[in-house]
Amino acid sequence: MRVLVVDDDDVIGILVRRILSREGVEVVVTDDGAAGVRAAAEIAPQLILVDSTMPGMTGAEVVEALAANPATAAIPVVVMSADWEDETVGLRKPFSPTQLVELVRGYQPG
Amino acid sequence: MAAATAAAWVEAQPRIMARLAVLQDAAAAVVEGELDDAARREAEGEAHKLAGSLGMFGFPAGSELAHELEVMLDGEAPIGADFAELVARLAGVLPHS
Repeated sequence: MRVLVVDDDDVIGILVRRILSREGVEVVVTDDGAAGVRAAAEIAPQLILVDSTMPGMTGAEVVEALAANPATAAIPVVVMSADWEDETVGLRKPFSPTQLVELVRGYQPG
Repeated sequence: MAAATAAAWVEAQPRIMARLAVLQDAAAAVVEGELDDAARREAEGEAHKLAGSLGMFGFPAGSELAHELEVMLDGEAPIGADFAELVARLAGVLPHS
């Protein structure tokens, strides 16, 4: 399985890569939304984790761009956020390693 | 999973400490009455990232303190002396080696 992480916080990329690689998951990290949109089309991940608040493209704009491209429209996207008042996010930061692994397992093909 | 988290901490710790240093600089500037808007926004951004990440490494109190700091830095309201105290508490919950 391949997971794309789009987050300007490099610490999140480090943590997600370390945890998921032990689960046999390939993790690709980009640190801005535009690069994330390009990477999604190139590597066709099974899941995309995108931060809601980034300079440049926001998480919502990334979701919109992915949905508008037939090559990426079907890829599931989970929005992460450290905005504790936002009730709409899929994965609230800080999340535990167990939460992360369980979430990703839920998207594993087959 | 604990081993993966520990390895991630070793890799991420320099970045975390650099963010803490930004907050410590902001606290010193607050005490001197010299925190300008650019430094305040930078500190707010770093507090936001710390709030979103420290709990993942087993420091939930660090995330809570960073969130309190982020709220204090948001907007333009005057920042009180308790800001520096909160930054010191945040530094106290993080391992420094």
